[in-house]
Amino acid sequence: METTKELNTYPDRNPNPVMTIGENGELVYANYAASIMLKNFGRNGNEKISFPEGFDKCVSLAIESNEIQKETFGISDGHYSFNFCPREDGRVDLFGTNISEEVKNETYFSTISAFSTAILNADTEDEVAITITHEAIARLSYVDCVVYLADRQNGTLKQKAAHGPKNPKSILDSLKDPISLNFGAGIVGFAASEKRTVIVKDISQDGRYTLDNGQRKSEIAVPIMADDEVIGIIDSEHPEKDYFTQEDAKILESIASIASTRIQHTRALEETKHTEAKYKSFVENAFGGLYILRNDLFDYANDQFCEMVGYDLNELTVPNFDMQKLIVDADQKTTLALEARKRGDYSPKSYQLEVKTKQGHLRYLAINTSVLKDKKGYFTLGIALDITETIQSRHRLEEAVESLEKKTEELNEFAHLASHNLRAPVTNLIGLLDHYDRENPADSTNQIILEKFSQTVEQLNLTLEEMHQVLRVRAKESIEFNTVDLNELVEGIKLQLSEKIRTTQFSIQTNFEVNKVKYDKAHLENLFFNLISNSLKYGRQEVNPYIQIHCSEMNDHIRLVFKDNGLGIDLDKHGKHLFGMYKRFHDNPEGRGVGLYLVKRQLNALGGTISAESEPNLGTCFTVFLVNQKNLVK
Amino acid sequence: MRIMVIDDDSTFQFIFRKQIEKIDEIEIVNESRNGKDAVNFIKSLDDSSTEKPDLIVLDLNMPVMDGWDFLDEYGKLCANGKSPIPICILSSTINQADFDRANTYDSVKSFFSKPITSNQLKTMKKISEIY
Repeated sequence: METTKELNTYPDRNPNPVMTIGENGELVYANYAASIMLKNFGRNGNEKISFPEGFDKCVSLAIESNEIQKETFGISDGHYSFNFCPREDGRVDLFGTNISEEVKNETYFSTISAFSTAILNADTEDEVAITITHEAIARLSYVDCVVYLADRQNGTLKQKAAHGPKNPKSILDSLKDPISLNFGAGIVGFAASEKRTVIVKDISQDGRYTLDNGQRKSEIAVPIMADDEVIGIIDSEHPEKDYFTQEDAKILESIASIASTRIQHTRALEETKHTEAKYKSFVENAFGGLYILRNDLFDYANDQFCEMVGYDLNELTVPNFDMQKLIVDADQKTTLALEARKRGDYSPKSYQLEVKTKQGHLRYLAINTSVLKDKKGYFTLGIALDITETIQSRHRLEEAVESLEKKTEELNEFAHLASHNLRAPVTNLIGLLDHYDRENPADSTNQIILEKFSQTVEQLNLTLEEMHQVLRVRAKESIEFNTVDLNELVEGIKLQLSEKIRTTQFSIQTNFEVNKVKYDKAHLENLFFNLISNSLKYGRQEVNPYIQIHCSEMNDHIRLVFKDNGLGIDLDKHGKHLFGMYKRFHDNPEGRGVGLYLVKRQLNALGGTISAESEPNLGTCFTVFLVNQKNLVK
Repeated sequence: MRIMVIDDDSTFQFIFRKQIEKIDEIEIVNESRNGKDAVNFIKSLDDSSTEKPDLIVLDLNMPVMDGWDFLDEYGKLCANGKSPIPICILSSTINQADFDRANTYDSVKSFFSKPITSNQLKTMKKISEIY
């Protein structure tokens, strides 16, 4: 037979399937391998061969195009690649190759690849667990998958994710009521304690199966290992007996390996984050201000430091930030520390800085610096404490001490002056008594002595009165701010001094831009009385003596000017004693050397000042500034 | 012995005069009320003047020119050729600082606190004789 002859030319023993399809689509020839394949496909010898779907189409295409067609088919339990080769006689030869192994490998790799991608996208170990269960159902066609992770603290395995009848709808939800297993308990526990994959073909025959509802027939448990430690288990059960194969074991072990890497990575990340958070919290809270300088410029500053100096981080870290703007005053220690740094002395330094904030406030910072090195080079780590309060308290204390020392000195001076001014009249009284002739009371010298005795007693009385006044001013007796009418004040003084004013033809000229002043009336009266009566006492008779008083308002002050054309004072000689106690500059018995002293004390007590300009024989001009009280009345 | 008294206190001057009257051979040749008057008086003297004092009694606390300023001015006069006259300070002060300061002047030979006794007056006389 022609056909038989032809068939004889074909390698019947070829292990790959070889076939010829006739013009009408009938099977003309099939070698042994093809016969096995087709038989396995479920058809018998003489029956009309029913080819896999798509076979006919490839045959037709090969004939029509007269070109070889290539296609892969899943036939029975294998995968085959076929070349459809058209012949001149209208038939088609089919040469097949069994590629089941390649397909299986490809499936394995694509599954692993998909798993890897999904797992590597998981950011936490819980997400890794959830991803595994999800992907196992989707890609491996499992009906159930559970991932347990080892609790390192108490040595148990805790369900982290389950996908299957227990969580039928949820895909990415963590379990609400997770199962906790001990190592060694059940098949999962067994796999964990044995550190190897366990496949149970028939659960009903396995004593280790203690959990779940018994509807499962077979199970696989694969440990997730890290450094020879079990950190988790991938577990799957199936309602068919003997469902899981070594292929499943291989895939799940690969997945476990990827999962292990990812879990360790996420744990390391979490630990880093935790450490970072701890470090950040430490930096932000424990130290106060913290900054980093590189090449004398700010590289970093924490919130507290920014707050201390009033600049935000972006302003501090600009490359042209001017340090001189910030540092007001570098004390000697600071300067030495900064210079040492320039010489390459990298030892830790402590110093104090006076800085000016962006808002212009002065602050004192205690600075501790260390020089450290990282991959970008040397940098200075500075810790700053705001010690403004402490420094200010110290300044206040120093001021208080200074003020106290000054007061003590003044009191000593007062004591000496008081003693001198009391001693002088008392010794005079003793001296006068010594020369009093008791035998002849009517003696003319006795009359003089009595007269002088009387004058001295009067002087003594005045001295005591002055001392009382001085002490009263020092004690700052009740200050009361009243509205004082300057015109009335001057009129009152004119009345007191009327006799002397009349005899000397003294004139008082006033020019008050402000004539009502809120101030302590007694102080103001004393001021006016002393300056007017001084001008009166030390007037020059050869000119018409006068005093001109001018009052004006200047911002926060009231300015008073008392200008006379009197004797004047040589300020070069007496300037420093002008306002001293018991200092007299003219030989006038009325001058007691207390008036100006009291005036100045009273003014200073309320924040005011007094100064003088004078030319001997031309006159004197006193300028007074009073603190303008808020409720000043014009 | 001729004495010059510089003191602004007229009562003291009166008492002092009365004390001097009781001691022989002491005569007050000038009473000045302050340092300035005293300087003017001394300037007006020449060495042969019968008013030239052998001793100056000086108060410290005075108006116009006090005792300290007088000492400075007097020092200048002596530096310019005036023959020096010994000075005794007679003051009401009992302040140690004043004693110490007085010690820094060569012209000041002694320091007395008021009131002055007859014995102290005799000491003054001796001082004028020594210098």
